[in-house]
Amino acid sequence: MRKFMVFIIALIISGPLQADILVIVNAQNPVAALEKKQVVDLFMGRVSAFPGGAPAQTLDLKTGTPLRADFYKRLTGKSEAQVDAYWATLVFAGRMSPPKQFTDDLALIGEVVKNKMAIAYVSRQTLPGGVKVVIELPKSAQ
Amino acid sequence: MVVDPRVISLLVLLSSLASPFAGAEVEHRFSGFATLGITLNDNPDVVFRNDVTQDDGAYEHNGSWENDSRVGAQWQGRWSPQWETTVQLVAKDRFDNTLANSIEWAFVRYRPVDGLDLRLGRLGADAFMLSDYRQVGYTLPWVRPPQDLYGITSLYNFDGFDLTRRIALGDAMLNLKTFYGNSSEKYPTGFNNGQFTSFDFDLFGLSSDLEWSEWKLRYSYVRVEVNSDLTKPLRNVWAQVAPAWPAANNLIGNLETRGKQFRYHQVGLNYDNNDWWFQSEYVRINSDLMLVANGENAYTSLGKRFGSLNLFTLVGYATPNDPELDISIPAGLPEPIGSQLNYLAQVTATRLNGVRIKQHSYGVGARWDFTSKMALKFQVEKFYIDKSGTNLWFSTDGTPLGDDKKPTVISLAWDMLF
Repeated sequence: MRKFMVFIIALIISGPLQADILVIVNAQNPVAALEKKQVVDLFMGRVSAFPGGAPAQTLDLKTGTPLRADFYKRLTGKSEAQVDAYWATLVFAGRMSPPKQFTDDLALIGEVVKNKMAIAYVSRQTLPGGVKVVIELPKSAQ
Repeated sequence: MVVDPRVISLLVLLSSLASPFAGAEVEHRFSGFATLGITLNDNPDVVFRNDVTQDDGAYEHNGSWENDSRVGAQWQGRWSPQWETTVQLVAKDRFDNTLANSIEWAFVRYRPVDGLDLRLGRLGADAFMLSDYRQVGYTLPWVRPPQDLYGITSLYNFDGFDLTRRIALGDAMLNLKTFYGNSSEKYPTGFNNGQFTSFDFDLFGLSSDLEWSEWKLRYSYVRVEVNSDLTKPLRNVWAQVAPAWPAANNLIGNLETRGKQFRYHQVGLNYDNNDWWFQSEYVRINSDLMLVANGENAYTSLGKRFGSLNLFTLVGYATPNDPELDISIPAGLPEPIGSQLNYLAQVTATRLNGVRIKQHSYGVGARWDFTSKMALKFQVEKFYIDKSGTNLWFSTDGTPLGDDKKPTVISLAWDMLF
């Protein structure tokens, strides 16, 4: 019984680690919302523009950041190693330049506020006025 | 070191195209890849080569690092969403190790609208499924692209252009590409003996890739036209005996290489549901040259992931489509012409039959992604080489193989991205 309680508590505590993920763009970006598939195409380097044709620049977290692994798992079902291997096929074939990598959420948000072409993902939090959410990836979405 | 004029022209091209953006804010990206590999082959008679561009490799437990070890570094300069320049350098054990050959890619990419790319410069020859990133071990489940098929890839890059168009078909994505350019390469003809055949060729290709959910389907066609005359001394000898044996004129015609073509047709299929994966590829070569054998090459690989561990099996196959060349000289010719002709026929047949590939293989292996951007791999393969099709291997003593060989090749690799 005690073990069971510990398990339940552990589940509750681990909840916030698996928080909702928000995909954000600059507030002035004409795009109001994106579908999951459109986000997959952008972050997997299949397209390099927003629906409507404006050039897009995907921003990423550094490899090894827990949110990064979580984001790609929810988006594509792939592990971080699979995503890195996939991106290496695009980058070293010279088809795409790799997304610029940032150390944390704050740095990402700061860049999206400045850059009208940017698109990034962050954990659920209060966001500044310079950015807007185009899709939420709830933790149940796989 | 003598700088190849090709290198200079590439650099001039890159700098002239980049100069309009001299004032623009440029984003520089630096990235790289490396593999440290060791290959063991239990057979003392044959040298294992990854492909026909290598003159060295594993034999008799010597533990060759030359097969797979390499370092690549890449710079990408993004001048605007439309313009980007890429230069990739690769250092590895090469038969002809020059600065010019170390430049894998050096090109300018122009993207007028999303989904349309025009590239100009030194580009990857996108002939097969893995061609564009075959040197980046980290992208592959195996230690190297399967040798039964990728052993024939003589083309790494070319100087020219390519044009890619992406088309969305509902949930599927279709990529169409066409390319044209020129390339030259020295192919070693023996184990560590410094001798080679120098090919210069023009190539034209089309490829189509369809990605749909867990599936990838690919078809490509490449036409290679040879600009070099590779058989002149041999033809001259046969021309001298033609008066005594007029059938030689036929042979002389077939030996020609300049202006002749060979063609690759390739189909590939990949399925990956992030748990199980499967990949298979088939290539057929149709050749108008006796010096490039008609043949078929294929492999199939099936794997399953267990967390960071990826286990796979691999089967490969290569066969020529023509019988071995046999030049039969009629009996009763006056001596010494008769015996000279017989000797010449034997030398010619040995040389031309040497380009055949007849082998198959079975393998198992594992890839372990033990930490970010690094993987360790282990692979064991058993090859069955028919003595009538040994072109992917060199004999250690330089003489043609007298019997079939069954080497076991064990490979270890440590791949990384940086």
